[in-house]
Amino acid sequence: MTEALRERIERVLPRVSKPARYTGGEWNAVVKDHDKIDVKVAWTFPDAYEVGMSHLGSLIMYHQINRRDDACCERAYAPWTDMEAEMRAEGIPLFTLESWTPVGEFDIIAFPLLYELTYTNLLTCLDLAGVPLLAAERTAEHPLVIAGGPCAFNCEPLAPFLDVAVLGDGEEVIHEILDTYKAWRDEGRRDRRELLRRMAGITGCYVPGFYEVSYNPDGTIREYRPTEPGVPEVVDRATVKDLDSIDYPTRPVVPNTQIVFDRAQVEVFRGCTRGCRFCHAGYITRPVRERSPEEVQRLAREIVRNTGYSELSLVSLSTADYTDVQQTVGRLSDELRCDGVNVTLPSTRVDAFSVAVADAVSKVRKGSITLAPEGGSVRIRRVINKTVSDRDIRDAMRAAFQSGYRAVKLYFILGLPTETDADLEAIAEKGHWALEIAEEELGRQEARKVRVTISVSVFVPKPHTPFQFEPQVTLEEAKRRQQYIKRFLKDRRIEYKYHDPDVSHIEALLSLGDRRVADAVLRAWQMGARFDGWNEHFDYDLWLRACAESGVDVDFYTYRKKGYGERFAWDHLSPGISREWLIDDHRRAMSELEVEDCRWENCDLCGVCMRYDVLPTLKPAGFVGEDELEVTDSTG
Amino acid sequence: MRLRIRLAKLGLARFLSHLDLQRVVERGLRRAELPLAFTQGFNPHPRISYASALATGTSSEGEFIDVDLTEPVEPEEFLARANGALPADVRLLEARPAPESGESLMAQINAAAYRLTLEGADEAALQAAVARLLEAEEVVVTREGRTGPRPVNIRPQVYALAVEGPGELRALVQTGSKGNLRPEEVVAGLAQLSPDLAGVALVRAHRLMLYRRDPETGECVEPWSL
Ligand code: SF4
Repeated sequence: MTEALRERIERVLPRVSKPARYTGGEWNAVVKDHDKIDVKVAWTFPDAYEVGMSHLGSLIMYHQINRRDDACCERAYAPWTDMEAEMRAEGIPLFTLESWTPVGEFDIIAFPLLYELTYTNLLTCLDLAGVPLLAAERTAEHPLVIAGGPCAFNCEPLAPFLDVAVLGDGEEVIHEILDTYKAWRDEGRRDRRELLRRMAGITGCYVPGFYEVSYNPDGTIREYRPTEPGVPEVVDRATVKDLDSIDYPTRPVVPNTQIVFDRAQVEVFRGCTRGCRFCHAGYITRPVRERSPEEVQRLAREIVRNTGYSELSLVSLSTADYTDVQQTVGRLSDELRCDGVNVTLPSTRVDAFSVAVADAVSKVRKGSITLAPEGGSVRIRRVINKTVSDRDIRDAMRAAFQSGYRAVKLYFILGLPTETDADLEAIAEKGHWALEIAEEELGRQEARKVRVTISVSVFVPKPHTPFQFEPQVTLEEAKRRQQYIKRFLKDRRIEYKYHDPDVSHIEALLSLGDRRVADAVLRAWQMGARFDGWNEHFDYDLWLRACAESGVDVDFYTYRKKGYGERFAWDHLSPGISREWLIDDHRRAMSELEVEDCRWENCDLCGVCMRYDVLPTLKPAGFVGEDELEVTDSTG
Repeated sequence: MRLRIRLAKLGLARFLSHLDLQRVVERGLRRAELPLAFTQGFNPHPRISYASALATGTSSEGEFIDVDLTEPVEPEEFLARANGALPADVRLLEARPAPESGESLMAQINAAAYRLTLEGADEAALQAAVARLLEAEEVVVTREGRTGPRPVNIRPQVYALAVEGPGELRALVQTGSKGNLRPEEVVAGLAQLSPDLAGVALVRAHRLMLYRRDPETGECVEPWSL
């Protein structure tokens, strides 16, 4: 059966772009004998192979499932549009790369939801797997469809399509899910509702079908009512308390073909409490939990040996904040340099210290350095709680030119709450600062070669953040502001980059949407929406038509300022932060007040730690003092 | 020390591009913890040089690479360790010590032998077309270039062509930087000479060996003796 399918797949591959995305056969891919397995999971990434293979969370979960003897995890990805067309023409179902097994034959289909613009791809995958799109139409014979990742915290626009959504850290809860599934199956795999009831009893698992929603006359939500006994009013997230206690993949699948992040990755900590008020990730992953430097080093060494990668990245939401960052980076660079392996950090914080850390590891020819002040003026940065001073920005630029960089990329967000034209002018001003500092540091002659990129994205209000009450700036206004900034950029060395704000508008709809938006997602998919996160595929007019046809008022979700008392579509999906705290923090934002980072300063009582019995955990190195580090440095 | 290695790209690995293959081989050799010599500079890489680039979709048992090592390794041991660390469809077949100086393999290789598997080809028509191609002075096909399609005479690039069995051809053609004939172009040339072959499809191209061919005598030597 699978052999015949493999042959059919082989016949279409010569006709599609980048066929190596569909062939599997990678080093460290886990192929198990299905006859000896109780629960089979198809980990289905709703985007292209090169994106999905770069996702650390997927590598972690692949390992968590495959380390069990009674389960297997195989990978599938959304086929690119040319491959989808071939698959439909030839009747090829969505298949896994490990064994060319149709995804529809698995017990569980698991979708990681990293960004909203993959939702239509999720429908493509379900459809190609031959699974009914609507959860209500599935029977005991069909796979259980689950989804996790950041977007699970407001998966309402996907509610009718999902059996279960998983909130929070997946490493521990996945085992409860697999055990529960196994027990249900061993009892004869009869009543699907019974399976869902049991799933709803697991902390972190949300069963959308067990809630009834009612609405107010003005279109806002009145209430979510559980329809089954024992189903929680508020679903709590799953939380891993200590990263060191979690088995981390040291044999990740090594792609054969080019992917987006083609390198070894070690997660140095999870969570971030810097408290940037626009940042979804910061509020759903609290508190900060560090991995110990000793463990980081051990993992790094093993992963490099088991993969043959020539680059190792220390990843987190802000790696410069890792307690032992300088020493860990130094030790690893020294150790791995002899094997021709570079250590890299995925992003640079805006200050001289992190530029120095980035510089210390940068063995590649100095390309460009990326700094993200996010807000142009000091005032707006206080509103968004990006606690970076003008001085930090100047110091970071200076450090960058001093350490040899000749290109600086600056990232900003446009359309932030309270933004005025003065804040926009301040964005342009930062570009000119970079040039001034380049001239001071390098002299006029050399500074002529400097390139500054100003990259501006449009603000999307996100659930569970203090800005969840805020409207998005309108399309017309976003365009005006984009042009306004341009007027103040007066040097050929500054490159100005901005995107069509219409992508952000649909992203806002899907971020802030409720169950009724699901009709628009389905309609857009039926009309041909695919890979909406890719410029070459995104079609704004198609989305507007889909919304109109399904009675979804985009502006209602995106342009409306919401009251502190409004019941949001995500209020029953809890990352642990209290509504009171979010309101307080929103008020602070409006008063331009900053809040401290609780990993270093006082707890601000956001609610997470009390609710989930966790604590911010920092882990300074246990075994290398500064003296020893000196020695390491001088030999390296 | 330098080892010259014959490499195979088989099965589904034929869908790897040349860059992909380079990546896979480099990572495999790194995993095997062989004493690889690295390039100098900011971004050191193992010194592995390829005799020829192989197209995406084409399998092979005749690729050649030169690998520089910092200390001697027995060829047999090298093969065993490397093959233990490479994906199943990428195999190292044979290794021999190679000269450390002289022109690169890439600069010397100029011919390649292929086995081509065709579908929908009438046996007799195929025989006739091959004979006609070999007799012809000029066979013009369209080549997709960077600047768009353009007509080229492929006849001088075909050194030998024969029907090996039902739907199977064996071809010796020019390859390398001075001129490169793609297997599809051979099939296109045949289809043009014989209307009966219009519906024929090349379902598999497999490279058998690379050669240094003497343009005067037509004599071919394998990379081992270069
Ligand atoms: S409860 Fe306190 S310590 Fe925990 S994440 Fe919230 S503010 Fe930080």
